[in-house]
Amino acid sequence: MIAHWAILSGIEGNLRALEAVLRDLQRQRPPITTLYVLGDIIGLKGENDAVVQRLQMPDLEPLEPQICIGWWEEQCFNLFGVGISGEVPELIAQQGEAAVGRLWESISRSSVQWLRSLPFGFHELDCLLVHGSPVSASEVLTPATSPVVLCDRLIRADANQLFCGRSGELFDCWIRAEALTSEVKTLDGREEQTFDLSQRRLIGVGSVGRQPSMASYVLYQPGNNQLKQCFVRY
Amino acid sequence: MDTCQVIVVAGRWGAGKTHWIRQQLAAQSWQKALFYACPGYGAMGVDLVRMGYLYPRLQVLPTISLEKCWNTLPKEGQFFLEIGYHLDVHQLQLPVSSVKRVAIATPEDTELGQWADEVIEAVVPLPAIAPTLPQLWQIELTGQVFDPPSLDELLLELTAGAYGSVQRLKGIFELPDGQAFAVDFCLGVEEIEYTNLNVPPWLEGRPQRWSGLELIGHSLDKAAIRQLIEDAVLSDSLLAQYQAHYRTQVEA
Amino acid sequence: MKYAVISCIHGNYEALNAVLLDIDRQRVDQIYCLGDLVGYGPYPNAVVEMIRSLDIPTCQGCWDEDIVMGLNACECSYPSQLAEKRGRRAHEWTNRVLHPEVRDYLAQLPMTLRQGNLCFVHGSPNSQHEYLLPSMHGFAALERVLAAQAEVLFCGHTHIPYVRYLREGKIRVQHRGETPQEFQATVKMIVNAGSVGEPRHGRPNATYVIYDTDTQEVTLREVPYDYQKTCAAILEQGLPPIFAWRLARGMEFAERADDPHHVCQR
Repeated sequence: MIAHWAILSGIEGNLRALEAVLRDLQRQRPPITTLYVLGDIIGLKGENDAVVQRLQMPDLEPLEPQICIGWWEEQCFNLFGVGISGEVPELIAQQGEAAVGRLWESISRSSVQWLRSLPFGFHELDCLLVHGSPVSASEVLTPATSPVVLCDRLIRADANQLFCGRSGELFDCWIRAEALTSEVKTLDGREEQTFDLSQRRLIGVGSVGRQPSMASYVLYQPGNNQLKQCFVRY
Repeated sequence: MDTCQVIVVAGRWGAGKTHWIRQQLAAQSWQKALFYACPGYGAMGVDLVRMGYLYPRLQVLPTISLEKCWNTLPKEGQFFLEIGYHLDVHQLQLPVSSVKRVAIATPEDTELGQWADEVIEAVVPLPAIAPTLPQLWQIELTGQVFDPPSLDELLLELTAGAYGSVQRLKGIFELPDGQAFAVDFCLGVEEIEYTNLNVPPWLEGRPQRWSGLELIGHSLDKAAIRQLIEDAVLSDSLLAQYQAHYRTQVEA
Repeated sequence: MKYAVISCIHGNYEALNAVLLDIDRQRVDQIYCLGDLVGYGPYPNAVVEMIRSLDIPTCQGCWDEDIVMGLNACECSYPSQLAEKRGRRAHEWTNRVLHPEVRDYLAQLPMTLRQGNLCFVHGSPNSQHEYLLPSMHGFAALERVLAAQAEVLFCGHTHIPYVRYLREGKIRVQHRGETPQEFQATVKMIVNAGSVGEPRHGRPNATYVIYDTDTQEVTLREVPYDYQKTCAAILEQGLPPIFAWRLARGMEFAERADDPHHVCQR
């Protein structure tokens, strides 16, 4: 069977959008072999518990869903006191004070527990799949990000393809770097070296639930490196 | 009449006794039964265990004392008997007829030279004969598994003399990936020799096979060395974590 | 302007004295310190008091942070379990002897200091725990200097001094269906100040650096001092004797984490 990945992010609790995308996946050819969900499963766009349950339903099992955490999950962990920090300044800054109460109300303890079991991302073949960047789930990468930052994140990714979802945008961009001379002097001598970064690819996987009535995601065939950007109206 | 030929090999620490025996074994056709013992190091010792791993067809005889050695002497074959540096060859009772005495020695080792039927020149230059014999200290480590970078530091510090003057270090150590390897260090030889023992990976609980450390040296700070080992070995929970990780790797 | 930059003193008062004396002779205009005033060495209070009395601008090191926040350094900071256990013993000892006002001083130290186009940090602009090793990928190193919004980035933490010039890098970004964008890097510099109190370059001498803004010249200084005195004090204070043995050989403990890019996520 030809490996064919569907990669989504940013459901944000939007069950209708998720159902529309799952229906869209069924008619893809070659058939989807793996489903990646790059975080932001929950959010303030609908029914968080329902989406968490939907992603665990047996009909998805043939797709072996690979689900990791995103920005919203980290906010949720901090809010419920099971995260790295006990505070949610990012949540308040980006979504306002009211979001704190709404997020708290929107999700059950058992869903939080399930989300806690999810990894930070996936290293598969020569691809890294994460929500934000190799540095954090909060970091937004787009083609407009500083080129040096992009280089650094691709070096840290240690992969030829970096898939990310924080921006919610769809993009497909190629980065290469060359001819950086580094001269190092120590107490015991001097060394010169040239650094290159062979061509790497940064892929934005869109967002399922963030934009009303329009979902986006990507399909990727690792065998031939082909990427397809998909839109679903619902 | 017994047909077992006994080859007694003696020499100072680091002279290359085990090295010479390994050369003999490498030249064997393994038609006859071959035996090895290394008395004076307790029932088990680094050399005995290592030889057993490296030569699966070699029969190693766990022997605490020389006397016990003779009781277990096989009827046929060839028997390599390695005599620890701290045993006096002149006190050796060799109650068998077919014995060859081999000394691995330098011209300085006159006593050994007189005792031996054959003298092989030591492979490395040996330090001058000291007035007092260095101490032999063995620590059994069976069941202990080392954090690999900590083991590197431990070997570096021990061999560089942080806990007394170490002339010779031999060890068999277990690692969290289930592998065991042997280490051999001799003062004056720059490199520490590492040998992978190619044992089946032990990934379920504490390895139930012998491992240990042997030090030959002067004024060894035993309490500090014990602390060093304690700081470098893995706790039950850490070991379980590592083993779970390596088991999934093996499955993949 | 001539700056002296010192780092990683680690409670070694003898070494600090020798370095300050050497700095005096070099006629510098200003001293900066990149943190790690305490930990491992026998005189944490005296070192901090000296830095304070001379009013040396100082940023917070990982040890200074740990002593204030409680030992919660993530495991990534230690290269081995052995180093971690020793670090813990050193932490406990330091924590016991530290004066309250010294602790308060360490608590208020900033993460970053700036002077024109120079930036001073302990580890990297990202974290006090990140090691900027001289072998780090050139483009990753360049990112650290730009993240600090500086031309010259001063760091410590690795305990081996170096100066690194990054020149002429070119980056091409091509968005699908658009013309490629080219980015040309200008010359940047990373200067590692080494370690005053716990050198790791294989000799016991203290190290620090001098930077001349007029000539942009960096001088790596190596200063001999009576390290035996510090070794004796380590034993006297009941710190692990292995600290003294390693200090006398220029072998520091927590040499580096396995993954130099790893960022502590606590």
